[in-house]
Amino acid sequence: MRPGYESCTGCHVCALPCPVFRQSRDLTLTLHGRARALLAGATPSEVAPSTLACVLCGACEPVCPEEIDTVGLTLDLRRALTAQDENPLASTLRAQFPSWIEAPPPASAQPALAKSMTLLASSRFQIEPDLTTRVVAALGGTDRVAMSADAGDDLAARIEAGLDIPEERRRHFLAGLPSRGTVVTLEGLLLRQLAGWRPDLKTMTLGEALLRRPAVAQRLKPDDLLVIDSRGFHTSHPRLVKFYDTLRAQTGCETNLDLQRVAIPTGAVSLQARMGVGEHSIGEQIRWIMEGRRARRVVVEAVEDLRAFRQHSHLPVCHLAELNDGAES
Amino acid sequence: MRNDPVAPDSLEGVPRLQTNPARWQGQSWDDFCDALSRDNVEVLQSSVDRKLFATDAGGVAFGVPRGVVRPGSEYDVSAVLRAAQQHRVPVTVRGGGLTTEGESVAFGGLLLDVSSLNRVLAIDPDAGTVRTEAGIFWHTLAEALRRQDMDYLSAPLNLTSSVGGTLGVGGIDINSPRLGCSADQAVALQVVTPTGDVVECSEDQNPDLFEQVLLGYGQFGVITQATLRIRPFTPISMRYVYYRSLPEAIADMQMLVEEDAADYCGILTMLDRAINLLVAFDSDEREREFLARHAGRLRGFSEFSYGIRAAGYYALRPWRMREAWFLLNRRLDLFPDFHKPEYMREGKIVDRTVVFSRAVWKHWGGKQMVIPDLATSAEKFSEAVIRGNAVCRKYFPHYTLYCVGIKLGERRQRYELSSIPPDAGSFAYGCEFEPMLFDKTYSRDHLQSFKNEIYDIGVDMQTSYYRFGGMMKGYVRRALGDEVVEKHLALKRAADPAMILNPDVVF
Repeated sequence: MRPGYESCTGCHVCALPCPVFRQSRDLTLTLHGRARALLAGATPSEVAPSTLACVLCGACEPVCPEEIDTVGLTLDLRRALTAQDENPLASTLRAQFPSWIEAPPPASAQPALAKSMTLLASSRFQIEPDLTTRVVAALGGTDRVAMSADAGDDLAARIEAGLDIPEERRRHFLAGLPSRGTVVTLEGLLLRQLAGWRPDLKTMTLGEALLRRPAVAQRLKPDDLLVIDSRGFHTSHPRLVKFYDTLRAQTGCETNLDLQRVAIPTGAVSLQARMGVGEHSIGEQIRWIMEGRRARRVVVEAVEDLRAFRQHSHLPVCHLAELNDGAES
Repeated sequence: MRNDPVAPDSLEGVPRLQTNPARWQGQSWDDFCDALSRDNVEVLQSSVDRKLFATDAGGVAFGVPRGVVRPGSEYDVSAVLRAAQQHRVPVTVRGGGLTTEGESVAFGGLLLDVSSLNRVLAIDPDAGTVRTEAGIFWHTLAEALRRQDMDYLSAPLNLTSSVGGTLGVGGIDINSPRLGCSADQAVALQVVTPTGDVVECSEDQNPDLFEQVLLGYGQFGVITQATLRIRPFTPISMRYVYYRSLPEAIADMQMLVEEDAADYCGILTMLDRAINLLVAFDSDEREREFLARHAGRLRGFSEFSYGIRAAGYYALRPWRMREAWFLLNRRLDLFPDFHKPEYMREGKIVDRTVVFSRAVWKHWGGKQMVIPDLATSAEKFSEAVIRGNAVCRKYFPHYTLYCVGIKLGERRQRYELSSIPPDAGSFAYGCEFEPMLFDKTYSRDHLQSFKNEIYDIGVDMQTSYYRFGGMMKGYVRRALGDEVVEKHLALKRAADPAMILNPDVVF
């Protein structure tokens, strides 16, 4: 069990990588601001603007010297706001994007075929034509990779918005997971939740799964900027920071890690960005990620970052999976 | 005593010493806010906005401002100070809030949260300078500089110190023996004076203001922008030398400092018999020179050699096994954080400030931090540290001493009312005495008594010190003498007629 706000010493190291602070220059909108206000007696309602501004990139978590469960506590605050009917993120999700939180039909609750890897085939892959096919191919093809029809997209959206997850739906999702092998997802928040729901299950971010394939990793070049998906990375930071450091040394590519070795997020995967609400500027984040870089190509892990970098960067952009077949060139 | 403006609710018949006759009681607040509103400056008065700043890193002093302004530019700062002068509202400036005596805590009045002034304005690698807004945290500045393969010269071993706050108090790094304090790397400043004038100053332009503001403890203006010297970034190689004797470690450190033997040099103690002298180098050439000319003269041991001796010492003294156990655990707990592979390249540490300051927060940070210090001339240093160490031993089971040399520049005016002792020659030496509180809660009385005993050593030995605010204000006059204090008080009154800027720090 990680500690809560009561352990906050006020060092505000968490504010350093916070994209909300970078853009707003307002400490009250950071985890530090929430923690200090709550310690001083503020209610969840009083810190609601801060709770709702967070893009849940998770960069604050690995840098916290007290190892506070920063993401979990922010999600708790969102749920508290929902309970008080003060959560516009949740109400927008329900009202304008009901399909995002509709559960799939129960009949599909069949465990995935026992293969070495199970890919949670998120509908987010559909942002890019043929991306699902490319991802499966890059991970080793259908002989190695099973596709789970229930990707848990609705669960991820509910978690992020601060909505409860019906127990029946949770059980249905878990029943669809394999009993062994590795489960791969591009949903960082789902990855975090799975660690609690199924601690026995080996899970992996899509980025790590792809980069463990030599055919992908070996195509990274020294003049590439690899944009690591912040949510998944920060969920397993102690392990992944070493993995990406080794990868950087082997390939010479740049990454979007900052000096504290946390990933600078674009914020494009956030619910706010996907729903088109909030004040977070993806373009401003991308300008900061790109500042002073020598890269000549951008390689992204998160599907949403494909579109974001194409819009805000002048460099060629491709997804990691495209490295596998040389499609990126 | 009902009419005592200092403590209106104090006990009847109990005489109170009115330490600050100008203490604000809330007068003219509405007029002040109206004036700022006319200048389009928003005064934030919600509970959340104010309570965020209820304490500082010390966690001992608590106070809540009446309102907060988060300036967008130096003109907002100017408007605040003009209105504050007119309406006599105290203004406390806060950057990183890493004070430990409540210097950045507002006890009423307005809190100016300058962490909003955090843009890097221009990096000029050819000229070796950066122009930045001064509310920026050093780490944020480092992030921008590193994109250009540049680095700042020296900064506190703390990621969230602000540039402006550091320049105002000095700023010590483990490269201060070579590069001086952080304030000495300032080339030029934009300052908003206590009366609201926006003034550019440097050694050539408005030099008196420049000298007053650097190490001026926020008394003579708000630093809103700074031009700092920078240098090419280099990873560093680190070496550790272990000692069983504090005087020997201090003597060796002073030898290294005065012979310019290392690029970085400082002492960190774990126990009275476990003292670590760390030295580090920006280049292989400097390290080779150290090994050839200085390493053999050090009286300390390698880690292995020290470990053998320590094992023998504790084997013969089984009643001190708890101490041995603490030392071993501290070693196992602490040292891996200095060698994390993701921060190492070919055996050298990259991003040393991240490595050091993360370790500082993780292993020394806490809800309360009490870090009294003494700064002395070379001659007095060893005695001051040894006496301070004895005070630590009296009050706490575990504590750390952090000792470092500080190269002094030519401009002595700025050092006058500061931590730099007047009798220092080319180098001053500083020691922080930091109890390791862990999860134990100590009373404020206990902590304050500890600090008092440390500072009593300073008064007795005529040394200086670093942390002026809060309960330590009373030591300013005793440590620095009436003449210096009266001189600067007169300057302060001239610059800040209503005495509104940072009223709880020095005067």
